[in-house]
Amino acid sequence: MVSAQSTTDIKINSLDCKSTLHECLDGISQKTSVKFNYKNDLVNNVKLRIKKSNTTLLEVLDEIRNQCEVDYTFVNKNLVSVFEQKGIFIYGTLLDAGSSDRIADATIQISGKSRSVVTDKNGLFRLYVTNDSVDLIIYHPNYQLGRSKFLVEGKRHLLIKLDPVTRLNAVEVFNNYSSEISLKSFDQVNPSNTDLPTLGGETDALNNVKLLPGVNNVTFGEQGLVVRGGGPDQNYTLMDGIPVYNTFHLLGLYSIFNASIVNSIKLHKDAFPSKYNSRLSSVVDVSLKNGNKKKTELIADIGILSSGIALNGPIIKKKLSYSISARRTYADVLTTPLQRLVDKNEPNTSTTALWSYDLFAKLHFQPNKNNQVSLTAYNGGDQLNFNTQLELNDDKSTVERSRGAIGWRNLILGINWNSTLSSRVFLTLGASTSGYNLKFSDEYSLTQKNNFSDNSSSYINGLQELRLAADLDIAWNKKNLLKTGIGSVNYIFSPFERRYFSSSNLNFIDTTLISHQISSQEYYIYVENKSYFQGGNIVYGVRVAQFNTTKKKYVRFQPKLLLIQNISKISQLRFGLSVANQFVHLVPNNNLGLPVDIWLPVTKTLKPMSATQLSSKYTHRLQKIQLEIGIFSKFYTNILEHETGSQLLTDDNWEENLLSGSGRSYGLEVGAKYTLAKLSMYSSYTLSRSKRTIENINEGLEYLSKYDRPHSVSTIIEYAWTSEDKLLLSFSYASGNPITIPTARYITIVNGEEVVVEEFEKINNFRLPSTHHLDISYLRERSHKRFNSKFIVGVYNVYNRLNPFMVFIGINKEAEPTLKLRSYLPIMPMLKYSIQI
Amino acid sequence: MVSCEKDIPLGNEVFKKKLVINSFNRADSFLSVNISESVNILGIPSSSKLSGDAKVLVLKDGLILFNDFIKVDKGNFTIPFKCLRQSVYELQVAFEGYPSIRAKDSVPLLDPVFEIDTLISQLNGHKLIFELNDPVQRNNYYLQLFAKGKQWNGTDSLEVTKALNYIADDKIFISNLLTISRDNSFSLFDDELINGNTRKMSLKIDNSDLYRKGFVASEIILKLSNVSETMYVYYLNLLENTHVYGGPLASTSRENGNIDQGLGVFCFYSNTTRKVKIP
Repeated sequence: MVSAQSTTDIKINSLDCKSTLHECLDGISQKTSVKFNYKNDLVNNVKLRIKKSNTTLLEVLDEIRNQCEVDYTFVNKNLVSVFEQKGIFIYGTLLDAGSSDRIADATIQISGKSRSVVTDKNGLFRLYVTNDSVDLIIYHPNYQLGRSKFLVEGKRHLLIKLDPVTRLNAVEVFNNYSSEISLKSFDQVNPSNTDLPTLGGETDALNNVKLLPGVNNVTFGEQGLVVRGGGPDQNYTLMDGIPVYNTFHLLGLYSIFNASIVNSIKLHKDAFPSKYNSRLSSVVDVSLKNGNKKKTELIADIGILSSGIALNGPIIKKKLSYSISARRTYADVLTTPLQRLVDKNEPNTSTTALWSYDLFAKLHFQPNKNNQVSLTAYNGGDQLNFNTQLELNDDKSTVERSRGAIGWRNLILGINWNSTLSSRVFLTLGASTSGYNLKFSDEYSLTQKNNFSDNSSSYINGLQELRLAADLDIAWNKKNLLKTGIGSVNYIFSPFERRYFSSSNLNFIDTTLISHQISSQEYYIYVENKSYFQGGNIVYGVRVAQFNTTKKKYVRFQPKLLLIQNISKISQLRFGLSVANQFVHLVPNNNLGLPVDIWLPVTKTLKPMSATQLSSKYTHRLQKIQLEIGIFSKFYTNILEHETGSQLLTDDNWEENLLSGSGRSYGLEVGAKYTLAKLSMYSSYTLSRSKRTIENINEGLEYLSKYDRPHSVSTIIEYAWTSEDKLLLSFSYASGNPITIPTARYITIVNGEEVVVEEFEKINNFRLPSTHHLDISYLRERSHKRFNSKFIVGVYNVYNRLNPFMVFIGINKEAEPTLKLRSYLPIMPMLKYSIQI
Repeated sequence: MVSCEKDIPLGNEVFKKKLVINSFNRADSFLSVNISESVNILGIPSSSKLSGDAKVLVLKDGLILFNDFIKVDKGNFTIPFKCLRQSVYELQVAFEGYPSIRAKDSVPLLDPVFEIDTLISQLNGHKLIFELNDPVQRNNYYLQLFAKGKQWNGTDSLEVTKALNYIADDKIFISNLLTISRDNSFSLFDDELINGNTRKMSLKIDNSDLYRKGFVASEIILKLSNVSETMYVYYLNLLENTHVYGGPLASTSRENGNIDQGLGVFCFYSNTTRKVKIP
């Protein structure tokens, strides 16, 4: 029923619209006799939800304006014209109120509107606003919920500051606040506030990524992540946009990323950003903190495995900041003096030292609101050294020494300039270099009065890349954001360099054998458009890459499509389709007998690996729980495998030892988060299969990839009884991965003696026992007069599970041959103390 | 780092037994063959288990040299024909209960040419220096060391010859990274770095290998073989197998040998032996 007064005061007793704007306006016409004039394409595809009673026509029209981004005007008392809202683009920067550091990946939503935007890695965002005044709601898991109201008139740039929160949940994968489920195309981890300790109490930034559905460890002893059944080299790990080739220390125990300097980690598993579409499995985009632009901060920690220090602060207040950090393990520092003390009066001394280190440095300069420049540097690596010395006071004054070493290093340096050319156009220019090298060596010397010899040999492998890139973001209208860019990468691969030196009273040799260095170039251009529509967005684009390698050019088109649609306020569906190619790869090291990573390019005979992926995910959110369930399927071509038993390191014909074929992986991913008062829980389950078919391996039949781990489960339970104390329980389970064991044994003759030989008929023919462990830890945070402290104590692998490291044939108690499993990392303590000033 | 070990079940691994050939034939000697069978990986293989009649076919340069049943005695049988240098031999064996096997290899032309230069006594051992004169043709070498001496058992002694471990860190051994600086009683190298020239090489021998468990060495025997490519690759694979499965230290050996439908190797070599008294 409608009571007629003046047109604007027309009352509507009840209105329930849950349909398109077209149908809703028709419904209003029936209730009020007011006619509407509009263009069909403006109202046909726009949905809205209005449920009001005892309201007026004016209120209803205002609500329609808010929800549907349309405007209206009364032509006469019986006719209302509905037309598209005219608005403007405004852009802004989101800053940490304490440090003035830029906040990436925050969700910004105009109050009352369904559309939201996400700040980029530089804290920048742009919004299309149609009202004179705007009320923004800003959500980021590490910050207090922000609201910012402002008048649009005269403003084009906004500066919004958020206050950090003191305590947060362990894994902030899901968006807690947003009225609708976030439209982010990636999983996000914020390590600065994730206190999940792992081995020794280390709070490793990449550790939390392993808890996400579809992500797993390779296995202990092998470095890297396995994402949806792909190998570790199929993950593109970026540090401030610069590729890092080795991301884990000490056989994969923990990553190079120190949690105290990492701002955020984004994991892309579906239809990667076109710019970074150069690996097959994932993009792990790690952003480092820029440093506090207002005051100097110091974070120092000491633990069982390592100690570190991080310092950041302003050089020019609010303009230029720095951030540096250093971390080192120190088992060697403690054990080497002890070993020397024990050997003090012995003629025979020996020391073994194992250590790793990381050094980060970053400068961030923002001369004005439209420009910023950052410089990022990193150096880190692992080293294992062993020395023995025999020194005798005999008549020959004999000294015998032997030394061995194996180590790797990452070295990266990059500069980025971001400029806001207008409220619609952002420009980013970047130049970087990233290098990785591996070296092992051994040395033996004997010195006597009339006799000396000195022998040494070394092996070096590595790669170096130089990268230039230009990227442009253009908001060409309120519903479309275009990203485009070009780039070039110059690679120099050094498959191996072997040096041999021998000097004695008999001979002198100094020889270096160097394999041909391989120079390769990659050029790419990409275009990708993100179209927003009501309750969702679609991203589609293509990356075209050309890779020049020895005597061969490859050109690859890599299309992508990612559709995200909120079905309702509590449910979302997404679908992804993408093609990825990979031009550089880690040589499968099944047969080297050493834990080494060797990066090599595609060649004339080894074509670029390719993966076509289809994925879909459904997310449902209830009051206290958010559930997501997804499926994926990937098809590989030109996937590489090392030919059984072949030697990689010995000559220039290394590519002949690699075989290529096809593969597929598929699976199901489930994630759930539950929050109830002081208790929060996150759980994920992944069903993932990974298979390969390669001629000349396993008779050309399909076989299990070494990354096939059908089931994996991760659970974290956090109980925070105060804002400063919490108990964390972490459990992870993964099926064992396939390994190659012999199928038979037989006798052969070596030096006239019988020796048992093993027959390897098939590869990956045996599945290791499953890996699982439960960790319990207690975190205590305290605010003191001059500093804040954090104390971690806990137990790793509480029930002392013997997780597999390797398998061999040994003898059981009955002196019969048996398959034996060797395990490291039994039940161990966690202990770490840190202070922040 | 603490490590623990435990037994794990093998599972339902399917095993098919095969015939194993061990036939290492010196040039100008009779062709001799040992046949045995492969066993499950938790079984204990034996080289002297098989006895009975085997159907044997031997071809020399494509022509039938021998084609008859032959008595296998504890795995062994001999074909009464000498292996002629530069000839290609093919062996086919059928034995009841096993797939028939076939293998082919050629006999090297030349004996290695080398002389022992000197044996130097050192603090804990000896250094043996020898000089190799490499011919122009491509050669693969197999270097073995033995110690000859007396094995004492109380007051009784017995003359024995034992394989002797040594370290060979000459750069020619770096063609196989696992050979260098590792105690072994044999090593392998090719002549890529010698390239038809003369080369002095040294081997380090620890005294503990010369004098232990009642054994007193009096003589060192150096045996250098020029081996066929088949034999070279076969032994190279044996050296590289770490016998570890899974994890970063794993290595899987290439399918060994040249036996079609079977295992082991049928190969040829020529060799030269030199001896030196221990001072």
